[in-house]
Amino acid sequence: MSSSFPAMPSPAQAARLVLVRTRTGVKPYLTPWLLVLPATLMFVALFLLPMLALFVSSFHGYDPNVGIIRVLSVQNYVKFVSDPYYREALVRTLRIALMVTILSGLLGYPVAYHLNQVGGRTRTYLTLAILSPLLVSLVIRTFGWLIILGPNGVINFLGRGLGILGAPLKLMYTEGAVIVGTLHVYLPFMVLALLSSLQNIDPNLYQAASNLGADPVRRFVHVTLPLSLPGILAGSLIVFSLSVSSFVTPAILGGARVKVMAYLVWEEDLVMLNWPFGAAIAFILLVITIAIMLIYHRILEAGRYGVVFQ
Amino acid sequence: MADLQLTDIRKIFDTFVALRGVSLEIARGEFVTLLGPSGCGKTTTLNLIAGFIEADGGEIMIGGRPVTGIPSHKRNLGMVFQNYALFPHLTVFDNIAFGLKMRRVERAEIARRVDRALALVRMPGLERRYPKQLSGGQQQRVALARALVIEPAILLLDEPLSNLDAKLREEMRVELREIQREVGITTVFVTHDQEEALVMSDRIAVMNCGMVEQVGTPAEIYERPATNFVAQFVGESNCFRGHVEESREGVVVVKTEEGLIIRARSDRAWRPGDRVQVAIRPEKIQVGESPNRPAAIAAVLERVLYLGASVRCLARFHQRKLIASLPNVGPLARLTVGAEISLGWSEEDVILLPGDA
Ligand SMILES: Nc1ncnc2c1ncn2[C@@H]1O[C@H](COP(=O)(O)OP(=O)(O)OP(=O)(O)O)[C@@H](O)[C@H]1O
Ligand SMILES: [Mg+2]
Repeated sequence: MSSSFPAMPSPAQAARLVLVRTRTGVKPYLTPWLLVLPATLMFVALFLLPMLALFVSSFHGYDPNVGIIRVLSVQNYVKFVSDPYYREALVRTLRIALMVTILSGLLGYPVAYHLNQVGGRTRTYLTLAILSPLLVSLVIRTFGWLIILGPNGVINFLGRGLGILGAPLKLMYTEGAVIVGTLHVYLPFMVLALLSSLQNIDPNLYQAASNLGADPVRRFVHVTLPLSLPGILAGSLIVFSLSVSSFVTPAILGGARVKVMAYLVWEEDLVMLNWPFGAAIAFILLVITIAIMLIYHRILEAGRYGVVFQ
Repeated sequence: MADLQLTDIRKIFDTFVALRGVSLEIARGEFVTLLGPSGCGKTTTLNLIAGFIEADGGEIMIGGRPVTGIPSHKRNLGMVFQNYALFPHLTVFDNIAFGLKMRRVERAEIARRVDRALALVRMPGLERRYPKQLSGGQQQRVALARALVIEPAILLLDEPLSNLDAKLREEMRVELREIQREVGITTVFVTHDQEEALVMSDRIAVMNCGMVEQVGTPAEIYERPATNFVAQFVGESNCFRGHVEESREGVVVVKTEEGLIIRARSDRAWRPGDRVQVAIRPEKIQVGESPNRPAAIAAVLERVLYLGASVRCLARFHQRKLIASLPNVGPLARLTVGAEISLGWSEEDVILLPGDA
């Protein structure tokens, strides 16, 4: 076995390697900074700077005949706030993300709970099964829902075939379709976040609780649930932020009838070519999402079991 | 009538037999310790009593009633875990109040009883703290208060002192026992620390490999161990193998493999030729300058270990290492390493055990 791998340096060799580096003139205390430097550069160059450019551009004007006008004004933000078309899209986006988050929590919790109960190998296999949807392309998975929800899809076909449904149900291009499709995509993140917090609970605490007279239900309510709050927080932050900004799934399953914020950005940037307004929409979504997440975090922290977040 | 009675308890994990017939009776208010090496089944026994797992055979009776099939939350037992298992998301007050809330005790009554419990464990004034803001000793007290406040039928303690530092551990031994006496609660205490067991217990059940080897008071266990294992595990022993030469009127004469003749007292009926093991506690051995007594043997002093309160002499006798422990009184100058010394004992201090067949 070991011959097929390059030999690991012994501690002494490793120390010598470090010494060589130090001899080249790099001060030892700089090492950690040098290690994070590439990632930091990439973050700054590919994320921070573009975001800054986007932010500035959201204050620019636009004229279909002239193109982008490099002025600084808040007209894009005023336009968004004053037009119910945009406001509704924002509310719809938040509503969908909220529903997806809540449903993923409700559906994901029992799964994570069960995963935490089963031992060793079974858990590994089940975890893989839960992750397996992530191995399939997002687009393919979403088109899968089309096959299920479409006018001639599985549900309508079966419904009519069994005589339960008269006319075909309109399932596609509804908020429900978007919620179901998004939920499917992001559920694994919720399950994994919950699982990791459940795994952190000392099993002795369950014994202590039942020893003190808690039946299984009250044990869950008073011990398991509060102690899994960090997982609930992490899971819902991940799922909410991913769903609020998701584009592919709402675009395919909701189309132009269920316009979400990401869809509006796409429309402004690629159909209307009004990049400054697209930038403003993106920023409004970003700021509101961050605000909601912060408030949510605060509320949980200030709550009765805030101590579990420390 | 026994408050807690275990009859021939068996427990098998998959294929591993963890308990092979444990029987034990504990009277009301008694403090009984399960003592044994790691993995001998102490925690398993406690978990069976607490109802966290079900036995594969035998019967457990609490207060005269069999508890088979009764889930743990209906058994009304108090347990203190080795790692305390305090609820990290609850304050000290809420931790202690937990069991009372589960019993739907009313609010004012809860406050009163939590206060009383905190006073009992000598730790008032920290109700608003969270467990991680407490020291190990304080956590231990909270865990004890939490177990006692529900006024359980039986208190179960699983190595509650093993996470404390040596000094605190010794203090808590005494204090835990005082609290237990104050409440008068039947207690099963688990430890693998023999000194702890000797100091604290009314009776000790020495366990080994899923079985109880001997049950008795600390003095009985120490002075009259019933098996080789007990003699080795509780305290130290100088052991000799040999066979019975003659046995008459409670006095047994043993000839060891080295050819040494050792006389012992025993109530058991031994027959000449029986293979036996002879054990003598280090502190029962007297050290003299030269062989001057009939029961004494000549040995070479190899090392002297100074332990403060006592001195341990390691001596060699016929390729066999012997240990004698002396109180640190009088001059130690007479102990010169390499010199010949005499080791003596009186025959009532000799422990006679059945040897391997
Ligand atoms: N759930 C389980 N599955 C399989 N084997 C187990 C299980 N619980 C305990 N055992 C085994 O049963 C034996 C007794 O375990 P137990 O925990 O009762 O030991 P103990 O006397 O409390 O030891 P310690 O002093 O280390 O706590 C051990 O060999 C252990 O490996
Ligand atoms: Mg144990």
